Amino acid sequence: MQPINILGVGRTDYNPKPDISIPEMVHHAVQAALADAGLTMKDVNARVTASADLWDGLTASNVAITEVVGAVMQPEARVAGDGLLAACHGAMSILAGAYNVVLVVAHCKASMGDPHGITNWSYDPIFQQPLGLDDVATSALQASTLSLAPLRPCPIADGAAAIILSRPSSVPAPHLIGMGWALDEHYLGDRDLTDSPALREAARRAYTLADIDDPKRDITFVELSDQFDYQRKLWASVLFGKTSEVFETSEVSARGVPPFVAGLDRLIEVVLRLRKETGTALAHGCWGPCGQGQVVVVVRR
Amino acid sequence: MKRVAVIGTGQTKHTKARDDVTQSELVREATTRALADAGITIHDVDAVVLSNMELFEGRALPEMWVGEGAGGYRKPVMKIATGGTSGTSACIAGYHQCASGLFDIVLVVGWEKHSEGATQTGMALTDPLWDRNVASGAVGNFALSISQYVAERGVTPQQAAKVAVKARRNAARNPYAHLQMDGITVEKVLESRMLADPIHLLDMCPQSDGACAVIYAAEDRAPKLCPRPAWVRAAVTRHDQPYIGDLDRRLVTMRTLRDAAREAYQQVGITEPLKEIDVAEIYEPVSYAELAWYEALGFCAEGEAGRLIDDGITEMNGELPVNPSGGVLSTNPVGASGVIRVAEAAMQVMGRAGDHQVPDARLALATGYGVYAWSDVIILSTG
Repeated sequence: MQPINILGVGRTDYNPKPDISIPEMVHHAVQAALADAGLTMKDVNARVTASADLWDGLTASNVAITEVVGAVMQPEARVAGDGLLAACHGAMSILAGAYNVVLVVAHCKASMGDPHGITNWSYDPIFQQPLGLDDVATSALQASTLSLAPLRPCPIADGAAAIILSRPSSVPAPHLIGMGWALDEHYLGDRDLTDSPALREAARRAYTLADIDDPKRDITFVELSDQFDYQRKLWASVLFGKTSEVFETSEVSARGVPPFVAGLDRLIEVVLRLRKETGTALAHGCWGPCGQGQVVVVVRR
Repeated sequence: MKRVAVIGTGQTKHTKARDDVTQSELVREATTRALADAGITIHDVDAVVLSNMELFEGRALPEMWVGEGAGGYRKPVMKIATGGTSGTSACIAGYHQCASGLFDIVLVVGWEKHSEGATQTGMALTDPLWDRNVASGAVGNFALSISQYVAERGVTPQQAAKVAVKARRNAARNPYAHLQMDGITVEKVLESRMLADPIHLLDMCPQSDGACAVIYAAEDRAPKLCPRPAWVRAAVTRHDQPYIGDLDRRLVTMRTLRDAAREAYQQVGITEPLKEIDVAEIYEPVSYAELAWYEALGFCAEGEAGRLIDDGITEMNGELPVNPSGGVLSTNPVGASGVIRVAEAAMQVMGRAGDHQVPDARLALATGYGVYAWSDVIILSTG
């Protein structure tokens, strides 16, 4: 694929924000990304947003942020999934020739919601939801299959993250050069919870596009979405095998980053580091029960 | 960037309640039919884009379990949701994904199973500070905007009723349409229960259970897989203010649809839409909206929409048949409704619309409508 420039990044902190609304929170991230890119909203051709209706308590949860993402009388698509998936879609709409500059935004104000109720509703309503499953329960199950330490509670977090993508150019910005995503089976009983074939498939697709033959050799560092303790080790082992400890990952964890924002936050970490050093890095996002949805993006500078 | 065409479509029989299937099975029905129509198997599909408004059923991330019904297992699956425009937005997203060169074949599936949820509750989940206390769902907010439109344009209840009759008459020729009321008349529409003045029950769309799928192929695959593919010529989106009070005379101006159509026509080279477009599948949640959309889409001058329906211009045998499928007024599973518009437009171009085929349709328009005034415009053609 043709490389896509990552011109700017911006994000809020991820502390609970009882004093500001969702649009205000998103506004801060968007304005930070525009300032970082040296652009104004008039330079943006289209937006891809990522959010979850049930976490926001809103039908079509991008309605609340239409103005702050600059979508009034402008194109916008909303991905109901991780923000890194929205970045992939933004890049594809540029590759399709539809737009030159795309703003990608993810948000979640998890402090407003009921994590047990919301994640319980993400299981199929016939077989799994009635069991009372939620993200904590099934993550504990997954951790136990890996014989890993008990979970630390995942902190409740609010926040937004934004990036600005553009057509390939000679601008010396980090480039998005590969991407892939995939879904695993939904029923936990059908899955080997010690593995993540969807992550392997997402990475395979991203490596193919990025012309990476040997990820252990070619990837300098990775940023993983590890909202639960055990996930960091699981995702790394799937991506790089049992020798994953040799791979340098950021000390900055995605724990404490809100759901649906974490993947885009990982991409921002990658971009910020690649501004200081050359290399090829991997950003990872996941969503759904036990990481059912997986997305991988490869960035190079 | 690659050219992209629709090579297959499939939909379920839309109805009030599909108690016999789950959401996933509903999606599987549409997917299976689309694959058969395209002459491919699920193994040929490179990526899947889904469309659904989950709060209408009261689910979170329904694509995680419904995605398997679309054959999404271990494939790239992405859900797009933008209110009523979800289906057309998903079709535009699928088009972009295919045109990007990353995928050769992309499946788009939209679904809704309103019978499992409380649609009015979902519609009322708007901004909690300013909007929710006055949120009235589609009927209430349309009544407000239609009153403004009627006052400015002089459209009559009889003309709106003719739109409702046209839709249901067309639906009688569409085996998949939800409402089947062949004997409907203008008088029956006007005698039906008043929901919110001036909207009668039969002026309004139903809530349906159903799914619809569209399959795209990139330029190097489409001609080999389909003898007469429906090529995507334009795909334009416009969103607008989130508060209804900030929209200046919504139906009168409908600036999103007006601007999206202008850009789409420019991309295709259309200067006289009424003469050049052969068939239109437009997202009309209420009879009066179709009249307003005629103006915004440039089918007629401002104030001329009533004449268009009076003169039969948009009937099946008119100059520009609008909604041969019966439209949203006859079938409305919200997450699928936009996909149905694109599928029906493609079916017309592909010559596969059966009893509601417009003879020799070569250039087709599909639109999406959502939230208070969001619009998508998609144009398909034989070449």
